[in-house]
Amino acid sequence: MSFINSFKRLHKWLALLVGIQLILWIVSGIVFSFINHDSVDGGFIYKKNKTNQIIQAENFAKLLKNYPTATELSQITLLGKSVFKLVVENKTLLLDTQTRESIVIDEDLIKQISQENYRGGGELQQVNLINESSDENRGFSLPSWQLVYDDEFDSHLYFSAKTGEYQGIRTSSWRTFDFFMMLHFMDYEFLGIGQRGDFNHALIIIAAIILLLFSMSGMLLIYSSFSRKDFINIINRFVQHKKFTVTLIDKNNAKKNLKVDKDKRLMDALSEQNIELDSVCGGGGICGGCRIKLVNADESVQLAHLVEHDTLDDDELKQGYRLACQLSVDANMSIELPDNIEP
Amino acid sequence: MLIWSISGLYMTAVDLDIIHGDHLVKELKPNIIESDKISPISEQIIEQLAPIQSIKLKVYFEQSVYEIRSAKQLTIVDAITGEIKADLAAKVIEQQANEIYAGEASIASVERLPAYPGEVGGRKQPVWQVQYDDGLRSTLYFHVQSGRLISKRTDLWRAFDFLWLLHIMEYQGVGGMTGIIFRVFSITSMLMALFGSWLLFYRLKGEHQ
Repeated sequence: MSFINSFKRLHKWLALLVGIQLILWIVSGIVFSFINHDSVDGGFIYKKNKTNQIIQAENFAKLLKNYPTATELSQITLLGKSVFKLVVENKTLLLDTQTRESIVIDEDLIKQISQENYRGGGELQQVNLINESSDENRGFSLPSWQLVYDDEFDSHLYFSAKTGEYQGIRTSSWRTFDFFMMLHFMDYEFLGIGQRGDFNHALIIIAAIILLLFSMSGMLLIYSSFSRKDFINIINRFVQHKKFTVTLIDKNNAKKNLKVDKDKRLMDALSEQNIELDSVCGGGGICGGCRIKLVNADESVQLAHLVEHDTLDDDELKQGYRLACQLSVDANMSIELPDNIEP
Repeated sequence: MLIWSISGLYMTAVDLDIIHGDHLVKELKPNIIESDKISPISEQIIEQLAPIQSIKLKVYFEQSVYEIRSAKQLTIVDAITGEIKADLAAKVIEQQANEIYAGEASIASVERLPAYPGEVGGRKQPVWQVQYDDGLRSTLYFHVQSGRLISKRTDLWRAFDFLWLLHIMEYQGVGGMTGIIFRVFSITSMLMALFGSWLLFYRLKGEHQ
Protein backbone atom coordinates (compact mmCIF):
# COMPACT_ATOMS: atom_id res chain seq x y z
CA MET A 1 0.00 0.00 0.00
CA SER A 2 2.88 2.39 0.72
CA PHE A 3 3.91 1.72 -2.87
CA ILE A 4 0.57 3.07 -4.06
CA ASN A 5 0.82 5.99 -1.66
CA SER A 6 4.19 7.04 -2.97
CA PHE A 7 2.73 6.99 -6.48
CA LYS A 8 -0.13 9.15 -5.24
CA ARG A 9 2.37 11.62 -3.84
CA LEU A 10 4.38 11.58 -7.08
CA HIS A 11 1.21 12.06 -9.12
CA LYS A 12 0.22 15.02 -6.97
CA TRP A 13 3.51 16.86 -7.47
CA LEU A 14 3.59 16.11 -11.18
CA ALA A 15 0.07 17.53 -11.42
CA LEU A 16 1.25 20.74 -9.79
CA LEU A 17 4.16 21.00 -12.23
CA VAL A 18 2.34 20.31 -15.45
CA GLY A 19 -1.33 20.85 -14.56
CA ILE A 20 -1.88 24.32 -15.98
CA GLN A 21 -0.07 23.48 -19.20
CA LEU A 22 -2.08 20.26 -19.44
CA ILE A 23 -5.31 22.24 -19.30
CA LEU A 24 -3.92 24.60 -21.97
CA TRP A 25 -2.99 21.60 -24.14
CA ILE A 26 -6.46 20.15 -23.84
CA VAL A 27 -8.27 23.46 -24.37
CA SER A 28 -6.19 24.26 -27.46
CA GLY A 29 -6.73 20.70 -28.71
CA ILE A 30 -10.48 21.20 -28.41
CA VAL A 31 -10.19 24.53 -30.24
CA PHE A 32 -8.24 22.86 -33.07
CA SER A 33 -10.94 20.24 -33.49
CA PHE A 34 -13.80 22.74 -33.57
CA ILE A 35 -12.31 25.63 -35.55
CA ASN A 36 -13.23 25.93 -39.23
CA HIS A 37 -10.04 24.88 -41.00
CA ASP A 38 -11.11 26.40 -44.31
CA SER A 39 -11.34 29.85 -42.72
CA VAL A 40 -8.00 29.33 -41.00
CA ASP A 41 -6.43 28.43 -44.33
CA GLY A 42 -8.28 31.13 -46.29
CA GLY A 43 -7.38 29.45 -49.58
CA PHE A 44 -10.81 30.17 -51.04
CA ILE A 45 -10.45 33.93 -50.49
CA TYR A 46 -7.49 34.35 -52.82
CA LYS A 47 -7.46 32.11 -55.87
CA LYS A 48 -5.21 32.58 -58.88
CA ASN A 49 -7.12 33.51 -61.96
CA LYS A 50 -6.42 30.64 -64.31
CA THR A 51 -7.51 32.39 -67.50
CA ASN A 52 -4.11 34.06 -67.91
CA GLN A 53 -1.98 31.99 -70.19
CA ILE A 54 1.20 32.08 -72.19
CA ILE A 55 0.54 32.01 -75.92
CA GLN A 56 4.04 32.48 -77.16
CA ALA A 57 7.34 31.45 -75.63
CA GLU A 58 9.85 34.31 -75.44
CA ASN A 59 13.45 34.00 -76.48
CA PHE A 60 15.13 32.90 -73.26
CA ALA A 61 18.64 32.62 -74.71
CA LYS A 62 18.69 36.20 -75.96
CA LEU A 63 17.79 37.65 -72.58
CA LEU A 64 20.31 35.44 -70.79
CA LYS A 65 23.17 36.96 -72.80
CA ASN A 66 22.75 40.07 -70.66
CA TYR A 67 22.71 38.05 -67.44
CA PRO A 68 25.58 35.56 -67.65
CA THR A 69 25.28 34.52 -63.99
CA ALA A 70 21.54 33.79 -64.02
CA THR A 71 20.53 30.48 -62.43
CA GLU A 72 16.83 30.50 -63.19
CA LEU A 73 14.66 32.20 -65.79
CA SER A 74 10.88 31.93 -65.95
CA GLN A 75 8.20 33.33 -68.17
CA ILE A 76 5.04 34.04 -66.17
CA THR A 77 1.95 36.18 -66.58
CA LEU A 78 1.35 39.32 -64.56
CA LEU A 79 -2.02 41.02 -65.03
CA GLY A 80 -2.44 39.34 -68.40
CA LYS A 81 1.00 40.31 -69.68
CA SER A 82 3.98 38.05 -70.19
CA VAL A 83 6.83 38.83 -67.83
CA PHE A 84 10.30 37.42 -67.26
CA LYS A 85 11.26 36.38 -63.76
CA LEU A 86 14.98 36.09 -63.41
CA VAL A 87 17.10 34.78 -60.54
CA VAL A 88 20.60 36.20 -60.52
CA GLU A 89 22.89 35.54 -57.59
CA ASN A 90 19.94 34.70 -55.32
CA LYS A 91 18.14 37.92 -56.22
CA THR A 92 14.88 37.89 -58.10
CA LEU A 93 14.11 40.41 -60.85
CA LEU A 94 10.96 40.99 -62.86
CA LEU A 95 11.47 42.19 -66.43
CA ASP A 96 9.09 43.37 -69.08
CA THR A 97 9.44 40.95 -72.00
CA GLN A 98 9.23 43.77 -74.54
CA THR A 99 11.26 46.61 -73.07
CA ARG A 100 13.51 44.41 -70.87
CA GLU A 101 13.11 46.99 -68.16
CA SER A 102 12.63 45.86 -64.61
CA ILE A 103 9.13 46.02 -63.20
CA VAL A 104 8.72 47.68 -59.81
CA ILE A 105 5.94 46.30 -57.66
CA ASP A 106 4.44 49.55 -56.45
CA GLU A 107 1.22 50.18 -54.57
CA ASP A 108 -0.83 50.58 -57.73
CA LEU A 109 0.41 47.38 -59.28
CA ILE A 110 -0.09 45.29 -56.14
CA LYS A 111 -3.66 46.60 -55.80
CA GLN A 112 -4.39 45.45 -59.35
CA ILE A 113 -2.80 42.06 -58.79
CA SER A 114 -4.80 41.50 -55.62
CA GLN A 115 -8.09 42.72 -57.06
CA GLU A 116 -7.71 40.30 -59.97
CA ASN A 117 -7.65 37.23 -57.73
CA TYR A 118 -9.40 38.25 -54.51
CA ARG A 119 -12.75 36.51 -53.93
CA GLY A 120 -13.55 37.43 -50.31
CA GLY A 121 -16.36 39.85 -51.04
CA GLY A 122 -14.89 42.79 -49.09
CA GLU A 123 -13.47 46.18 -49.95
CA LEU A 124 -9.78 47.01 -49.90
CA GLN A 125 -9.13 49.27 -46.92
CA GLN A 126 -5.37 49.69 -46.60
CA VAL A 127 -2.15 48.94 -48.42
CA ASN A 128 0.94 48.82 -46.21
CA LEU A 129 4.54 48.15 -47.01
CA ILE A 130 5.84 45.92 -44.22
CA ASN A 131 9.54 45.90 -43.41
CA GLU A 132 9.49 44.15 -40.07
CA SER A 133 8.73 40.57 -39.23
CA SER A 134 5.77 39.92 -36.93
CA ASP A 135 3.79 36.94 -35.65
CA GLU A 136 1.44 37.35 -38.56
CA ASN A 137 3.90 37.63 -41.45
CA ARG A 138 6.62 35.31 -40.15
CA GLY A 139 8.06 33.15 -42.87
CA PHE A 140 7.29 35.68 -45.61
CA SER A 141 10.24 37.35 -47.27
CA LEU A 142 10.48 41.07 -46.61
CA PRO A 143 9.69 43.74 -47.65
CA SER A 144 6.13 42.63 -48.11
CA TRP A 145 2.92 44.35 -49.21
CA GLN A 146 0.02 43.92 -46.79
CA LEU A 147 -3.48 44.44 -48.21
CA VAL A 148 -6.23 44.79 -45.60
CA TYR A 149 -9.79 43.91 -46.61
CA ASP A 150 -12.96 44.55 -44.62
CA ASP A 151 -14.55 41.16 -45.32
CA GLU A 152 -16.07 38.84 -42.72
CA PHE A 153 -12.74 37.01 -42.38
CA ASP A 154 -10.79 40.16 -41.55
CA SER A 155 -8.39 39.17 -44.34
CA HIS A 156 -4.83 40.42 -44.62
CA LEU A 157 -3.19 39.45 -47.90
CA TYR A 158 0.58 39.41 -48.24
CA PHE A 159 2.65 39.83 -51.41
CA SER A 160 6.37 39.99 -51.95
CA ALA A 161 7.32 43.59 -52.66
CA LYS A 162 10.18 42.36 -54.85
CA THR A 163 8.38 39.96 -57.15
CA GLY A 164 4.68 40.64 -56.53
CA GLU A 165 4.24 36.99 -55.68
CA TYR A 166 1.36 36.04 -53.41
CA GLN A 167 2.77 34.96 -50.04
CA GLY A 168 -0.34 34.08 -48.09
CA ILE A 169 -3.45 35.18 -46.30
CA ARG A 170 -4.09 35.74 -42.60
CA THR A 171 -7.70 35.63 -41.40
CA SER A 172 -9.21 36.18 -37.94
CA SER A 173 -9.63 32.40 -37.69
CA TRP A 174 -5.94 32.03 -38.49
CA ARG A 175 -5.08 34.51 -35.71
CA THR A 176 -7.19 32.53 -33.21
CA PHE A 177 -5.69 29.26 -34.40
CA ASP A 178 -2.18 30.68 -34.18
CA PHE A 179 -2.75 31.96 -30.63
CA PHE A 180 -3.79 28.50 -29.45
CA MET A 181 -0.92 27.00 -31.44
CA MET A 182 1.39 29.23 -29.41
CA LEU A 183 -0.16 27.84 -26.21
CA HIS A 184 0.01 24.27 -27.52
CA PHE A 185 3.66 24.59 -28.56
CA MET A 186 4.53 26.56 -25.39
CA ASP A 187 6.10 29.31 -27.47
CA TYR A 188 6.10 31.73 -24.57
CA GLU A 189 8.21 34.43 -26.12
CA PHE A 190 7.55 36.79 -23.19
CA LEU A 191 9.42 34.24 -21.04
CA GLY A 192 12.17 34.15 -23.63
CA ILE A 193 11.20 30.62 -24.61
CA GLY A 194 10.53 29.23 -28.03
CA GLN A 195 9.79 30.95 -31.30
CA ARG A 196 6.37 31.06 -32.85
CA GLY A 197 5.77 27.76 -34.60
CA ASP A 198 8.73 26.01 -32.99
CA PHE A 199 7.96 22.88 -30.98
CA ASN A 200 11.45 21.56 -30.40
CA HIS A 201 12.59 23.74 -27.51
CA ALA A 202 13.76 22.60 -24.08
CA LEU A 203 10.71 23.75 -22.12
CA ILE A 204 8.19 21.74 -24.10
CA ILE A 205 10.41 18.66 -24.09
CA ILE A 206 10.69 18.82 -20.30
CA ALA A 207 6.95 19.43 -19.97
CA ALA A 208 6.26 16.48 -22.25
CA ILE A 209 8.49 14.23 -20.14
CA ILE A 210 6.67 15.32 -16.96
CA LEU A 211 3.33 14.75 -18.67
CA LEU A 212 4.42 11.27 -19.69
CA LEU A 213 5.36 10.44 -16.07
CA PHE A 214 2.09 12.00 -14.95
CA SER A 215 0.06 9.86 -17.38
CA MET A 216 1.93 6.73 -16.40
CA SER A 217 1.47 7.26 -12.67
CA GLY A 218 -2.15 8.13 -13.37
CA MET A 219 -2.67 4.90 -15.28
CA LEU A 220 -1.13 2.96 -12.42
CA LEU A 221 -3.38 4.68 -9.89
CA ILE A 222 -6.47 4.06 -12.00
CA TYR A 223 -5.48 0.41 -12.23
CA SER A 224 -4.93 0.10 -8.49
CA SER A 225 -8.00 2.07 -7.44
CA PHE A 226 -10.36 -0.26 -9.24
CA SER A 227 -11.05 -3.66 -7.77
CA ARG A 228 -13.06 -6.48 -9.24
CA LYS A 229 -15.86 -5.61 -6.83
CA ASP A 230 -16.40 -2.23 -8.55
CA PHE A 231 -17.17 -3.92 -11.82
CA ILE A 232 -19.36 -6.58 -10.20
CA ASN A 233 -21.33 -3.83 -8.48
CA ILE A 234 -21.87 -2.08 -11.78
CA ILE A 235 -22.96 -5.28 -13.45
CA ASN A 236 -25.30 -6.06 -10.56
CA ARG A 237 -26.89 -2.68 -10.88
CA PHE A 238 -27.79 -3.33 -14.49
CA VAL A 239 -28.61 -7.03 -14.39
CA GLN A 240 -32.07 -7.69 -12.99
CA HIS A 241 -31.72 -9.89 -9.96
CA LYS A 242 -33.67 -13.07 -9.72
CA LYS A 243 -35.89 -13.12 -6.68
CA PHE A 244 -37.42 -15.95 -4.62
CA THR A 245 -40.32 -16.02 -2.25
CA VAL A 246 -39.68 -16.80 1.39
CA THR A 247 -42.88 -17.52 3.32
CA LEU A 248 -42.64 -16.78 7.04
CA ILE A 249 -44.89 -18.70 9.40
CA ASP A 250 -45.18 -17.64 13.04
CA LYS A 251 -46.44 -19.63 16.05
CA ASN A 252 -50.02 -18.65 15.28
CA ASN A 253 -49.64 -20.04 11.77
CA ALA A 254 -49.91 -16.55 10.30
CA LYS A 255 -48.05 -16.28 6.98
CA LYS A 256 -46.12 -13.50 5.38
CA ASN A 257 -44.32 -13.51 2.00
CA LEU A 258 -40.96 -11.89 1.41
CA LYS A 259 -39.33 -11.32 -1.97
CA VAL A 260 -35.63 -12.01 -1.52
CA ASP A 261 -32.75 -11.57 -4.02
CA LYS A 262 -31.18 -14.79 -5.15
CA ASP A 263 -28.17 -15.88 -3.12
CA LYS A 264 -28.85 -13.49 -0.26
CA ARG A 265 -28.23 -14.87 3.20
CA LEU A 266 -31.56 -15.63 4.86
CA MET A 267 -30.43 -13.93 8.06
CA ASP A 268 -29.61 -10.71 6.16
CA ALA A 269 -32.94 -10.84 4.31
CA LEU A 270 -34.81 -11.15 7.63
CA SER A 271 -32.73 -8.45 9.21
CA GLU A 272 -33.68 -6.07 6.38
CA GLN A 273 -37.30 -6.66 7.43
CA ASN A 274 -36.37 -5.82 11.03
CA ILE A 275 -36.69 -9.44 12.02
CA GLU A 276 -33.65 -9.85 14.26
CA LEU A 277 -32.87 -13.39 15.25
CA ASP A 278 -31.07 -13.96 18.58
CA SER A 279 -27.65 -14.40 17.05
CA VAL A 280 -24.77 -13.98 19.43
CA CYS A 281 -21.91 -15.02 17.20
CA GLY A 282 -22.92 -12.56 14.47
CA GLY A 283 -23.53 -15.09 11.76
CA GLY A 284 -20.62 -17.42 12.41
CA GLY A 285 -22.84 -20.48 12.66
CA ILE A 286 -21.56 -21.30 16.15
CA CYS A 287 -24.18 -20.08 18.65
CA GLY A 288 -27.24 -21.58 17.03
CA GLY A 289 -29.24 -18.51 17.97
CA CYS A 290 -30.53 -17.96 14.46
CA ARG A 291 -32.12 -21.34 14.05
CA ILE A 292 -35.29 -21.52 11.97
CA LYS A 293 -37.31 -24.47 10.74
CA LEU A 294 -37.64 -25.21 7.03
CA VAL A 295 -41.19 -26.34 6.38
CA ASN A 296 -41.12 -26.60 2.70
CA ALA A 297 -38.15 -26.12 0.39
CA ASP A 298 -36.19 -27.46 -2.55
CA GLU A 299 -33.71 -30.21 -1.82
CA SER A 300 -30.85 -27.89 -2.65
CA VAL A 301 -31.84 -25.67 0.26
CA GLN A 302 -32.39 -28.61 2.59
CA LEU A 303 -28.81 -29.79 2.42
CA ALA A 304 -27.14 -28.69 5.62
CA HIS A 305 -23.69 -27.09 5.89
CA LEU A 306 -20.90 -28.64 7.89
CA VAL A 307 -21.12 -26.01 10.64
CA GLU A 308 -24.81 -26.73 10.96
CA HIS A 309 -23.97 -30.38 11.62
CA ASP A 310 -21.78 -29.18 14.48
CA THR A 311 -24.25 -26.75 15.97
CA LEU A 312 -27.52 -28.65 15.52
CA ASP A 313 -28.03 -32.28 16.48
CA ASP A 314 -29.24 -34.94 14.08
CA ASP A 315 -32.81 -34.86 15.37
CA GLU A 316 -33.07 -31.16 14.83
CA LEU A 317 -31.63 -31.48 11.31
CA LYS A 318 -34.11 -34.20 10.48
CA GLN A 319 -36.97 -32.03 11.65
CA GLY A 320 -35.76 -29.36 9.22
CA TYR A 321 -33.99 -26.95 11.56
CA ARG A 322 -31.35 -24.84 9.93
CA LEU A 323 -29.21 -21.80 10.74
CA ALA A 324 -30.43 -18.67 8.95
CA CYS A 325 -26.87 -17.37 8.84
CA GLN A 326 -25.75 -20.33 6.71
CA LEU A 327 -28.73 -20.51 4.41
CA SER A 328 -28.58 -18.72 1.12
CA VAL A 329 -31.85 -18.11 -0.64
CA ASP A 330 -31.60 -19.91 -3.96
CA ALA A 331 -35.12 -21.34 -4.12
CA ASN A 332 -38.60 -20.61 -2.85
CA MET A 333 -39.09 -21.75 0.72
CA SER A 334 -41.40 -21.65 3.74
CA ILE A 335 -39.88 -21.25 7.18
CA GLU A 336 -41.12 -21.25 10.76
CA LEU A 337 -39.64 -18.52 12.92
CA PRO A 338 -38.77 -19.11 16.58
CA ASP A 339 -41.71 -18.63 18.95
CA ASN A 340 -40.41 -15.36 20.36
CA ILE A 341 -40.14 -13.70 16.94
CA GLU A 342 -43.04 -12.11 15.11
CA PRO A 343 -42.83 -11.37 11.43
CA MET B 1 -3.71 10.65 -22.35
CA LEU B 2 -0.79 8.22 -22.39
CA ILE B 3 -0.85 8.09 -26.20
CA TRP B 4 -1.02 11.87 -26.40
CA SER B 5 1.96 12.28 -24.12
CA ILE B 6 4.09 9.61 -25.80
CA SER B 7 3.42 10.97 -29.29
CA GLY B 8 3.83 14.54 -28.05
CA LEU B 9 7.14 13.74 -26.44
CA TYR B 10 8.49 12.14 -29.61
CA MET B 11 7.39 15.03 -31.80
CA THR B 12 8.95 17.64 -29.52
CA ALA B 13 12.11 15.76 -28.58
CA VAL B 14 13.28 14.88 -32.08
CA ASP B 15 14.19 18.02 -33.95
CA LEU B 16 11.96 18.71 -36.95
CA ASP B 17 14.95 19.26 -39.25
CA ILE B 18 16.18 15.76 -38.40
CA ILE B 19 12.67 14.37 -38.98
CA HIS B 20 12.68 16.04 -42.38
CA GLY B 21 16.09 14.56 -43.12
CA ASP B 22 17.65 17.92 -43.96
CA HIS B 23 21.00 16.50 -42.92
CA LEU B 24 20.74 13.82 -45.59
CA VAL B 25 21.30 16.06 -48.57
CA LYS B 26 23.86 18.67 -49.40
CA GLU B 27 22.71 22.06 -50.44
CA LEU B 28 24.02 22.42 -53.93
CA LYS B 29 24.81 25.77 -55.43
CA PRO B 30 22.38 26.48 -58.27
CA ASN B 31 24.04 26.06 -61.65
CA ILE B 32 24.46 28.98 -64.00
CA ILE B 33 22.54 28.68 -67.24
CA GLU B 34 24.83 28.57 -70.29
CA SER B 35 22.84 30.75 -72.63
CA ASP B 36 24.69 29.92 -75.85
CA LYS B 37 23.54 26.28 -75.73
CA ILE B 38 19.88 27.03 -75.11
CA SER B 39 17.46 26.44 -77.95
CA PRO B 40 14.01 28.02 -78.03
CA ILE B 41 10.81 26.12 -77.38
CA SER B 42 9.06 25.18 -80.61
CA GLU B 43 5.59 26.53 -81.31
CA GLN B 44 4.51 22.97 -81.78
CA ILE B 45 5.17 22.17 -78.12
CA ILE B 46 3.41 25.35 -76.98
CA GLU B 47 0.33 24.41 -78.98
CA GLN B 48 0.43 20.87 -77.74
CA LEU B 49 0.53 21.87 -74.07
CA ALA B 50 -1.81 24.91 -74.12
CA PRO B 51 -3.05 26.52 -71.95
CA ILE B 52 0.35 27.18 -70.37
CA GLN B 53 0.71 28.99 -67.05
CA SER B 54 4.45 29.30 -66.71
CA ILE B 55 7.74 28.27 -68.28
CA LYS B 56 10.87 27.93 -66.17
CA LEU B 57 14.40 27.41 -67.40
CA LYS B 58 16.69 25.80 -64.88
CA VAL B 59 19.70 23.53 -64.60
CA TYR B 60 19.40 20.30 -62.64
CA PHE B 61 22.67 18.37 -62.33
CA GLU B 62 24.13 19.96 -65.46
CA GLN B 63 20.99 19.32 -67.45
CA SER B 64 19.29 22.47 -68.68
CA VAL B 65 15.54 21.98 -68.89
CA TYR B 66 12.38 23.97 -69.48
CA GLU B 67 9.69 23.15 -66.95
CA ILE B 68 6.40 23.92 -68.66
CA ARG B 69 3.46 24.09 -66.28
CA SER B 70 0.01 23.79 -67.76
CA ALA B 71 -3.32 23.31 -66.04
CA LYS B 72 -3.03 19.57 -66.38
CA GLN B 73 0.61 18.72 -65.92
CA LEU B 74 4.25 19.59 -65.69
CA THR B 75 6.24 18.85 -68.83
CA ILE B 76 10.01 18.79 -69.03
CA VAL B 77 11.66 19.91 -72.25
CA ASP B 78 15.36 19.46 -72.86
CA ALA B 79 16.64 23.00 -73.28
CA ILE B 80 19.57 21.90 -75.47
CA THR B 81 17.74 19.73 -78.01
CA GLY B 82 14.38 21.47 -77.61
CA GLU B 83 12.56 18.17 -77.39
CA ILE B 84 10.38 16.72 -74.67
CA LYS B 85 12.76 14.95 -72.38
CA ALA B 86 12.86 11.19 -72.10
CA ASP B 87 12.91 9.57 -68.66
CA LEU B 88 16.30 9.47 -67.01
CA ALA B 89 18.07 6.14 -66.72
CA ALA B 90 18.66 4.41 -63.40
CA LYS B 91 22.40 5.04 -63.75
CA VAL B 92 21.95 8.80 -64.09
CA ILE B 93 19.62 8.89 -61.09
CA GLU B 94 22.08 6.85 -59.04
CA GLN B 95 24.88 9.23 -59.96
CA GLN B 96 22.77 12.25 -59.02
CA ALA B 97 21.68 10.66 -55.76
CA ASN B 98 25.30 10.08 -54.77
CA GLU B 99 26.15 13.65 -55.64
CA ILE B 100 23.48 15.11 -53.42
CA TYR B 101 23.49 12.55 -50.58
CA ALA B 102 25.39 13.73 -47.51
CA GLY B 103 25.30 10.51 -45.48
CA GLU B 104 27.74 7.64 -45.19
CA ALA B 105 25.56 4.72 -46.26
CA SER B 106 25.47 3.12 -49.67
CA ILE B 107 22.52 2.78 -52.00
CA ALA B 108 20.37 -0.28 -51.31
CA SER B 109 18.03 0.05 -54.26
CA VAL B 110 17.11 2.30 -57.17
CA GLU B 111 13.63 1.69 -58.43
CA ARG B 112 11.28 3.38 -60.87
CA LEU B 113 7.81 3.37 -59.32
CA PRO B 114 4.74 3.72 -61.56
CA ALA B 115 3.16 6.19 -59.09
CA TYR B 116 4.21 8.19 -56.03
CA PRO B 117 3.96 5.98 -52.94
CA GLY B 118 1.50 7.00 -50.23
CA GLU B 119 4.17 8.49 -47.99
CA VAL B 120 4.91 11.23 -50.54
CA GLY B 121 1.35 11.97 -51.55
CA GLY B 122 0.33 9.16 -53.90
CA ARG B 123 0.25 11.17 -57.15
CA LYS B 124 -0.39 9.08 -60.21
CA GLN B 125 2.96 9.86 -61.81
CA PRO B 126 6.09 7.76 -62.09
CA VAL B 127 8.97 8.56 -59.77
CA TRP B 128 12.51 7.33 -59.10
CA GLN B 129 12.97 5.99 -55.59
CA VAL B 130 16.50 5.63 -54.19
CA GLN B 131 16.81 3.79 -50.89
CA TYR B 132 19.86 3.89 -48.65
CA ASP B 133 21.16 1.15 -46.45
CA ASP B 134 21.49 3.24 -43.27
CA GLY B 135 19.20 1.45 -40.83
CA LEU B 136 16.56 4.15 -41.12
CA ARG B 137 15.51 3.22 -44.65
CA SER B 138 16.36 6.74 -45.80
CA THR B 139 14.76 7.32 -49.17
CA LEU B 140 15.18 10.01 -51.80
CA TYR B 141 12.58 10.60 -54.53
CA PHE B 142 13.56 12.09 -57.90
CA HIS B 143 11.50 13.42 -60.79
CA VAL B 144 11.75 10.91 -63.65
CA GLN B 145 12.51 13.47 -66.37
CA SER B 146 14.33 16.38 -64.75
CA GLY B 147 16.02 14.46 -61.94
CA ARG B 148 14.90 17.11 -59.48
CA LEU B 149 14.88 15.97 -55.85
CA ILE B 150 11.18 15.81 -55.03
CA SER B 151 11.19 14.55 -51.49
CA LYS B 152 13.00 12.55 -48.85
CA ARG B 153 11.80 10.20 -46.13
CA THR B 154 13.39 8.34 -43.24
CA ASP B 155 11.94 6.00 -40.64
CA LEU B 156 12.11 8.91 -38.18
CA TRP B 157 9.70 10.79 -40.43
CA ARG B 158 7.50 7.74 -40.93
CA ALA B 159 7.29 7.30 -37.15
CA PHE B 160 6.46 11.00 -36.79
CA ASP B 161 3.62 10.68 -39.29
CA PHE B 162 2.28 7.61 -37.49
CA LEU B 163 2.43 9.26 -34.07
CA TRP B 164 0.85 12.39 -35.49
CA LEU B 165 -2.14 10.32 -36.64
CA LEU B 166 -2.38 8.86 -33.14
CA HIS B 167 -2.04 12.35 -31.65
CA ILE B 168 -5.01 13.69 -33.61
CA MET B 169 -6.82 10.32 -33.30
CA GLU B 170 -7.14 9.94 -37.06
CA TYR B 171 -7.86 6.23 -36.84
CA GLN B 172 -8.37 4.68 -40.23
CA GLY B 173 -11.40 2.57 -40.88
CA VAL B 174 -13.56 4.75 -38.65
CA GLY B 175 -14.45 6.95 -41.60
CA GLY B 176 -16.10 10.30 -40.94
CA MET B 177 -16.29 9.71 -37.23
CA THR B 178 -12.65 10.54 -36.61
CA GLY B 179 -13.23 14.15 -35.66
CA ILE B 180 -15.96 13.11 -33.28
CA ILE B 181 -13.73 10.57 -31.55
CA PHE B 182 -11.17 13.29 -30.98
CA ARG B 183 -13.79 15.69 -29.63
CA VAL B 184 -15.26 13.12 -27.25
CA PHE B 185 -11.84 12.21 -25.90
CA SER B 186 -10.59 15.78 -25.62
CA ILE B 187 -13.72 17.00 -23.84
CA THR B 188 -13.63 13.99 -21.50
CA SER B 189 -10.03 14.70 -20.64
CA MET B 190 -10.94 18.34 -20.05
CA LEU B 191 -13.46 17.20 -17.43
CA MET B 192 -10.83 14.89 -15.98
CA ALA B 193 -8.35 17.74 -15.77
CA LEU B 194 -10.88 20.05 -14.09
CA PHE B 195 -11.88 17.44 -11.50
CA GLY B 196 -8.20 16.67 -11.05
CA SER B 197 -7.28 20.28 -10.38
CA TRP B 198 -10.15 20.53 -7.90
CA LEU B 199 -8.85 17.45 -6.07
CA LEU B 200 -5.30 18.80 -6.17
CA PHE B 201 -6.41 22.14 -4.77
CA TYR B 202 -8.15 20.52 -1.79
CA ARG B 203 -5.33 18.11 -1.19
CA LEU B 204 -2.71 20.84 -1.03
CA LYS B 205 -4.97 23.03 1.08
CA GLY B 206 -5.77 20.12 3.40
CA GLU B 207 -2.14 19.38 4.09
CA HIS B 208 -1.44 22.86 5.38
CA GLN B 209 -4.18 22.65 7.96
